[in-house]
Amino acid sequence: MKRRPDLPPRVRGRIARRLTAAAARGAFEMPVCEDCAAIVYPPQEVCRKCLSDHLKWRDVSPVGKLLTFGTIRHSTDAYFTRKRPIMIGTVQLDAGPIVISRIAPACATIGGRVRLFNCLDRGGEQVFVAMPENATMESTVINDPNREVKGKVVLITGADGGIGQALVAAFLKVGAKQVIAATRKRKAPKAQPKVKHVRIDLADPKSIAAAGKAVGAEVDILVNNAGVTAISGLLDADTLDGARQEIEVNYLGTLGVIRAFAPHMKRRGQGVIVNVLTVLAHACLPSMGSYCASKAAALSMTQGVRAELMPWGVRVAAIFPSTVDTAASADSPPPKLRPADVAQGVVNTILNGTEDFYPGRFASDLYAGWRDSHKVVERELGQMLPEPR
Amino acid sequence: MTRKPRDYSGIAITMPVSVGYTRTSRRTMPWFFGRALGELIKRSGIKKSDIDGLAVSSYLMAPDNGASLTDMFELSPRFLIDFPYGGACGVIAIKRAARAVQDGDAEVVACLAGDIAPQGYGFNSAFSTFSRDHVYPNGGGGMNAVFALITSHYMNAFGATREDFGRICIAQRANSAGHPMALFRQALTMDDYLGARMICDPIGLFDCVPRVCGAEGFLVMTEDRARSLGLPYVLIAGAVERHNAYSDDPVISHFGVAEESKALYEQANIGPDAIGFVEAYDDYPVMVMLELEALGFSKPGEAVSLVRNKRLTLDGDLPVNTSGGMLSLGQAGAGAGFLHINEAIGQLTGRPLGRAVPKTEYGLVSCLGTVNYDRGLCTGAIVLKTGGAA
Repeated sequence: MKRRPDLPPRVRGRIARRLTAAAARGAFEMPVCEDCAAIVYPPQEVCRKCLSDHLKWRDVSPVGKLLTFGTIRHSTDAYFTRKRPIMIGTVQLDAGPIVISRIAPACATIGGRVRLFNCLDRGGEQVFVAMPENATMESTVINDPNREVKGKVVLITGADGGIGQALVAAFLKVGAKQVIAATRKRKAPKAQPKVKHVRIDLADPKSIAAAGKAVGAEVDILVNNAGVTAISGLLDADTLDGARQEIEVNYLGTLGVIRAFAPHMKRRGQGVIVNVLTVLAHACLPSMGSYCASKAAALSMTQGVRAELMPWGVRVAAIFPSTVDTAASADSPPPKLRPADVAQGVVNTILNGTEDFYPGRFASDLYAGWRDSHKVVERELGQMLPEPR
Repeated sequence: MTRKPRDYSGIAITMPVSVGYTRTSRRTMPWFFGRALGELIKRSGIKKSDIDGLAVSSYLMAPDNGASLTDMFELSPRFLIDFPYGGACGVIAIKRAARAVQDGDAEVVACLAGDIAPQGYGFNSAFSTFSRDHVYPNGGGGMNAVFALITSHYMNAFGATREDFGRICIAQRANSAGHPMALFRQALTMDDYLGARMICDPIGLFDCVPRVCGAEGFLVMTEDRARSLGLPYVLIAGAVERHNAYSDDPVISHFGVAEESKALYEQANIGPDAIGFVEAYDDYPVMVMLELEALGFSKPGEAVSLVRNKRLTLDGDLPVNTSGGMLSLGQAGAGAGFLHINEAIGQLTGRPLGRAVPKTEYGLVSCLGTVNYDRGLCTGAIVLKTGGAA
């Protein structure tokens, strides 16, 4: 295996990792003192002003003024040496803190108004990037090829389902060079420009290996969308067949696809994998208990794969929708997400360089509730038992 | 402060020693300190067992420290202190050692500072949590980037140009001519300075201090002891330190001890015009400007006018960095703090390693150390006075 690519420094302390956690979900947060209202940056556990330890991480306004800047033309770091010249500046946020950050060349005016973006860098750790106040983030400032969809080849499993078709359309719309639509079908469906078909059946390891061999070297972005649900409880099921199939497909099959395509991405030192999970990967809904258990396995697998691929410059993201309005969930009660919104969520996750996305009000509220008290959410979901048979 | 500090009368600083000053070395830090300590003992005529105080400053000696040296050198001091304050350790070491001697806690304090120069990728990234987590990931610029931001801010705020910083570098290089430790053989011209490759705009190659491997040392003892040993020595007319002053400056625009400047000159009972030379911590030239403003040689924000109108050479209006400073001799890491002290001792005792400045009774050393996030936090300034046996 080729040696690992140079990546930016991946060392951060525990407090700094709160910034990374915020960047992973696209948030801009800093510790705020509950006693004297000071915003504490660089982040630490005790207020700079009053020494209180009653600090709470909150959203902070990311706009401010560029006080000074410089251009790095020499570095003691191998990665940054290759990326020279690099612009760096001191930003004073309107909210108060002094932030040293990367700056886009377009910002380089002392006294200019800027907006900071809290981003994951190529190494998977946090950096702030300053853009002109009314501009959007440009990933070229931090040299991140993983934040691009234009010109990329995207492979989508389960491409013929409700979400799958929406994903194909969404990637074509933002300028993917080609979409490889992977389905269980043996015959390719009607030809579409920029869309190629390949057979992947997550329960058939031979089909996964063959697809990896055929197109692995071309795939920049892998979206693991295919999945099954037996819509069954755990004790309630007559046999464990449904549970076994869910594990076989949702956990082991997805892992098998990643194992077939990741080596190519590692070789190139870049690539993005997005796993379509469910908000119920965190908390079990008993009426679909075995499905939730299989998605919980897939979540843990996502974290493990992410860690294994981070040193190779490959990003792994996950999206956690609630019920999506497709044929598969015809019998589920509302509210339901539109497939196009879920697909756009996947595209945005890649463009924003984030790792975890909860599309829609229901999923993000449930997740927030779960973080606040997983036991309360467990009891609430626990009321939705399998239908008596 | 409501109480005035005690003066430093009766205390002598003597025996300036420099060891090493090579760009690379396979030697370990204890070798440099052992050599420096050996020279201090040999040249002063004291016995090793006379040393009952030890003050040590080094970044790259970790995991060893001053206590390790007591074992390695079989010393048994009654006073021991380590300083992780970088360039500020010169003034701080003297202040701490002087009080220990005044209080009778020690009679002869050996002060040592130095470092080896780290090699290769990856160093310069973890000198503090904030630097590692919140500055270094922005391009790996290290100290050059931190001081480029300060320099750019100063240029914008006070109208300094690159030529103004060049004037300081050129004068210091001229001062180093003939110095046995000088790293550069040729004079520096303005074309050389402006045409050199940029390191982190607006800082160029000749704004940067070369890192070397080395150690510096001196002894602190009573004036009586220095006289009985027949050693040339200097006295402390006044000494101040201040850490994280001007924390409200969004980008640092003042040198920390500016607030202590009045107290310093009151202790010494002189004004800036009595100062014959200034050894000003010169990492980077913008700091020299801030130091000269802070210590009364120009009004705040007006050092530009000073460097344009006064000659800073040995024979000039205000000699600054008479040895050429770190810009010409190199910085041995934490040893930086002692380099300027030792040059001042050499000049005031009539035994400089390089060329002599016109005879004077008072010299000033100012120093800076320890960047935690975006500025050097620790500052000190000391007025040294000609002592005896000069």
